[in-house]
Amino acid sequence: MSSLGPFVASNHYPNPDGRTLTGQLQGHDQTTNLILSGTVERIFSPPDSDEPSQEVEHGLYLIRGDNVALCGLVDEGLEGGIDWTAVKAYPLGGMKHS
Amino acid sequence: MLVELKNGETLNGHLVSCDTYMNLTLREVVQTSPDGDRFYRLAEAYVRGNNIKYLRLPDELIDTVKEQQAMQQAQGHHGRGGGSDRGGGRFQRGGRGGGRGAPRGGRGGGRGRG
Repeated sequence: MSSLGPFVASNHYPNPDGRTLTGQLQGHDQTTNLILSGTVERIFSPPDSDEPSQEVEHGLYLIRGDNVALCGLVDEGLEGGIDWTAVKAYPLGGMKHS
Repeated sequence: MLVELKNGETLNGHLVSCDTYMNLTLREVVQTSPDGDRFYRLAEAYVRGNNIKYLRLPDELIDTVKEQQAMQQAQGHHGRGGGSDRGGGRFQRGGRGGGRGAPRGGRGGGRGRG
């Protein structure tokens, strides 16, 4: 599998339940199981309601590859410049359709 | 550690064992229903790997693992050099691989790779 080596920095991962986790990619394997440390889950509230909160969902996560939809490299510069508490968004839908 | 399953249930317990499929056996488990309203206590539980959504692990684990990896690497190096007392010299005809040891990876190379 093409390597996620360059991503051993900071990453966003939406999982199929629509959650986005950001953290440092410590390790991975062929089935996209991921080890993320310092994981932060950001919860956004829709534009018409009050402020969203940012939760540090436990430092160390092992995420099973089945549940990873996307993984992206976070640009530290851009990331630092954004005030996340002011960002509002509609929640992403889950990937499972009944 | 905490295990969250694909159906949203969570299991909190101590890891007894695991395998390459991520199947787990846990001890002293508290199982919580997906809605968070029902709790069960189980002495032991077996989880099939493909049912796992994610695992939450103690933060210190990452340091522990890195130490272990460092130790393994150190041992790996030692194993090669220590296996032959003459391991030090590249230019020594160790007499192991029929004296072919010299510049070509002399340490481990000469070991019975006839």
